[in-house]
This record gives sequence, structure tokens and C-alpha cells, in this order.
Amino acid sequence: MSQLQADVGATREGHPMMPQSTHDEQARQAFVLNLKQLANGDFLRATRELCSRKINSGLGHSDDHPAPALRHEVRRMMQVTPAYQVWSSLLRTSQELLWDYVGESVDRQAAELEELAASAKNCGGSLRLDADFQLPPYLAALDQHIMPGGYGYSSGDGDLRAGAVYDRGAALYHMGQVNLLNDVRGHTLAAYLRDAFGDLQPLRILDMGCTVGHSTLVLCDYFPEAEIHAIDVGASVLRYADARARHLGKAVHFSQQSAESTDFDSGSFDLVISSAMFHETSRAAVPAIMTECARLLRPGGVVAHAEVPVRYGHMKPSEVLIRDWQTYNNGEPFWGGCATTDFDAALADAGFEDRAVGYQPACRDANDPQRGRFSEEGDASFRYWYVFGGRAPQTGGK
Amino acid sequence: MAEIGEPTCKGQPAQFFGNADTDMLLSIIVSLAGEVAVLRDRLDAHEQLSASQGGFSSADVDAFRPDQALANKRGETRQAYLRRVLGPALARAQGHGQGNVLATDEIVEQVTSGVPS
Repeated sequence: MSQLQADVGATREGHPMMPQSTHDEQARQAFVLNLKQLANGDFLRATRELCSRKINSGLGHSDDHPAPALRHEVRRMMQVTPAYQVWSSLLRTSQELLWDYVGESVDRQAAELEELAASAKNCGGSLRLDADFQLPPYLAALDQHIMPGGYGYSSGDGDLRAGAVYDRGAALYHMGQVNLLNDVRGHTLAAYLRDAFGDLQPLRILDMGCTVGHSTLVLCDYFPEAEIHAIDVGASVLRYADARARHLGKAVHFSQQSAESTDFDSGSFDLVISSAMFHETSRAAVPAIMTECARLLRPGGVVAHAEVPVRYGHMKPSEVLIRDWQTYNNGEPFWGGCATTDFDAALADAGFEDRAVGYQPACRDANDPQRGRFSEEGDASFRYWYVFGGRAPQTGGK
Repeated sequence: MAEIGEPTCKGQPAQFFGNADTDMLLSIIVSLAGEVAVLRDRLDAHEQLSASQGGFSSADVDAFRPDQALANKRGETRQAYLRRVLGPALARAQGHGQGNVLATDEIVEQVTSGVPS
């Protein structure tokens, strides 16, 4: 039984702000989980095996060797096959149902969640929203993960919908591989900081693209002395993040800002992080965000980003086909672009030194001596996160 | 799917098959399969709750045999159910909507043209 299935069976799930589920809502979520497992099990394997055979026989290339340039040709070749069509349809429908089911459940308890948010006591954090905030065009163009409304959705004052739907939905999306605190990325990022940058003692930390604070709150535990800031683009996700943090007793200063251009002072942070943010941005936004990170860090400060471990340059063409589905069918238009971005070069261009780019084994405790260590070698399974970071020059940013 | 007032998803609807109707139909069937799964879970909850509170159990349900009258009534209900579910396919097989009928557009045009028929 997966962690999620275990959690789904508990009387009070996850944390105080987590949307709860009636019997039928649980049954619907369990159905989506089964449907996704089937789609990404037998149906996915059938698609990948057919793809592999067609590459070997039809494209004059061995599927054993990476060939990122073949990506689009392989996709066009496979789109007309029943295997790809049925797999795609089942996966897309599972994703549509996921948001439909979770959205309906959250709407049912909207008033209760707003009361819960209002009752959470202040732990020293804050929430700063910007009524004039404009979503970056790459986030306005589509709804990420086809979650209706996307990250930027907000229906008005007090609205928690996007945050609550994202929190519940993300746990389902990962097919039970995460717990309901969804904190593996945060622990993994903390492990990367240890492995690549030694014992940091940051006093001021910024988490970019925090959504509901899954990774942010983990940092509070690893760096209890630090003042922690977190930014995202959506008012609703931030309202929910703030309430969730207060209920969990963490002090975080949330604000509604774009990672490309923040209103924080130059040189005012010791550590800037993000987790799974870059694939939601754009080719043009990557250098802008790296430059903003460099501006925000004091000399010698550390930047550390975690991303999905999907790197097309190291993958079989048939595996690229499977992963690239996200780019075209799941509201993730920069997924493939991110998987082909040279993040070491992006860090270097922004002036970062002592760069460490590679794979961090996913872990649930960075202090666990048995956990895996940072390595330049890894694979696209979610046993790893792709991590990249460096230090701002001692003489100040570029 | 989404009701009035709920956010809807930006962007083109997905199409994977050669015909958009096939995409729509498979999506509908999978959604229905979900509701059937939920119903099965709910029925099971009834049996478990009943058994745990001294009522009938799953084994009682397994052992239950309808008498002839109930079997006949169920048969009629099942027939009607199947006719309803397969109604559109049957209508197509029987050629309804074809032959000597006017297209709806023509009827709309006739009744709104102001020309007495």
C-alpha cells in the first residue's frame, strides 16, 4: 500500500489546512490513482516498446543511444499509433478527472477552509499580496498541469481554491510517491546543500516559486535561525500557503512576486532556492531569473535549484517521447525546453562560481547518514531530483 | 465537468485519435467507469458497516438468491436499462434521423422566416 493510500485511510489527513474527503471523494481519488497507475503502467510500456521498435526499424537509429534531435520526428511517428493514442487519452482523462474531483471536493468545503485559515495563529510570518500583479506571459498562456485556472487563479479576497486544489491534487498526481506534506523535494534540496556546499548557516533565505510552501516549510526546520521569504505568482496559492504555514507553526514571509524581478534589496539573501519552478517558466525567463538570483545574493551566497530529473540529452529517444508528453498535453509548454536547457551554462552566465550540477537522490531526511549522495550521474526516475547551484562571487555579482 | 462559476482550463481540448468524437467518447466512458468504481466502493461500505453493526454481511449478499418474482422484475429493469444505454446505437442501426426528415436548420428557417407554412 502506498503512503497516499495509507493517508487516504486516516481520519484527519495531512495537516490542518488539507482539504478533507468524504467516502465518495476518497473513492474518486483512489480511482484516479488506479487509472493513472494503469495508464502509466501497461499502456505506457506498450507505447514505449512500440516506439523503441519503430525507432530501431524505421528511423535508422538505435533506441539505445540518446538522440534529442529526433524528438519531434519520433513524436509525429507515434501520434498515429493506437498505442500512443489510447495511452494519451487515458492519461489526459485521468488528469482532467483529478482536478475535477479535487475541485468539487474543495468547493464543497470552501467556507470551512476559509474559517480554518482565519483561525490559524500568527507565528511571526506575513503575507503580502499585490492587487496589480501581472502574471508572466508564460504562466498566463496555459493552465499548468491543466489545473483549471492555473497557479495564478484567484476569485477574490480570501479565496483559497487554487492553493487547496493544488495541495490535494499534487499529492495525487505523484501517484502516492509523496506524503501529504509533499516535503521530499525540500529534504532533497537540503541534502544537496549539505553535499555540495557544506554546512551553510544562512540567516536570510528566499524560496522562489513556492506555491503552497511544500519545500519552504522544510527549510524552516533545517535552518531555524533563518528569516525565510517565499514568493509565487498566485494570490490564492499564497493565501493558502500562509494559512498552511501558520497551522504548522512556521514563520514564513510570503509575497506575490515574479522570480524574474523581485522588490528585495540587492545582496540581501544568503541562500536562494527553488524546487521544480524552472519547467514552469520559459527559455527567456531562465537567464532573467538566474540574474535576479545573483543580484539578491550577498557575496559568497548560495543559489540551489531542484528540477524534475528529466534530461533529454541523456535519455533513450523512446523515453523522451514518454516524458515529452507533458510538453504538449499537460499545460507544461516549457517542460521539453527545460529538459534541454544547459543549467550549468545559465549559472555561469549569471556569474556563479563553485557550481555543482547533477542528481540528488530523493530523501526524507538530509541528516540520515544512509541517504544517497549528490552525484553527476543519475536518471530520469523520480528516485532523483536534478539539482544545480553555485556561489555568488566573493567580490559581488557580475 | 466544470460547472458554471468554476474555473475552466485554458487551451485547446486534447485530441489524440483521428476523430475528436473518439477522444470524447473514451473520456466519457472512463469518467463513467470512475462513477461505477465509486458506487462499488460505496456498496462495499454499506456491507462492511452493516456487518460491523450486527446486520447482514458481504457473505449474506453473496448467498442471496432472488425469488422468481424478483428475478423477473430485475430482468425488466435490466432490459430497460440496456435499451437506455444502447439507445443511441439502436437508433442509428434502425436508421432513425435519416430518410424523409427535414434537417433541423431547415425547420428553424421555416418557423422563423415569417412565411406561413
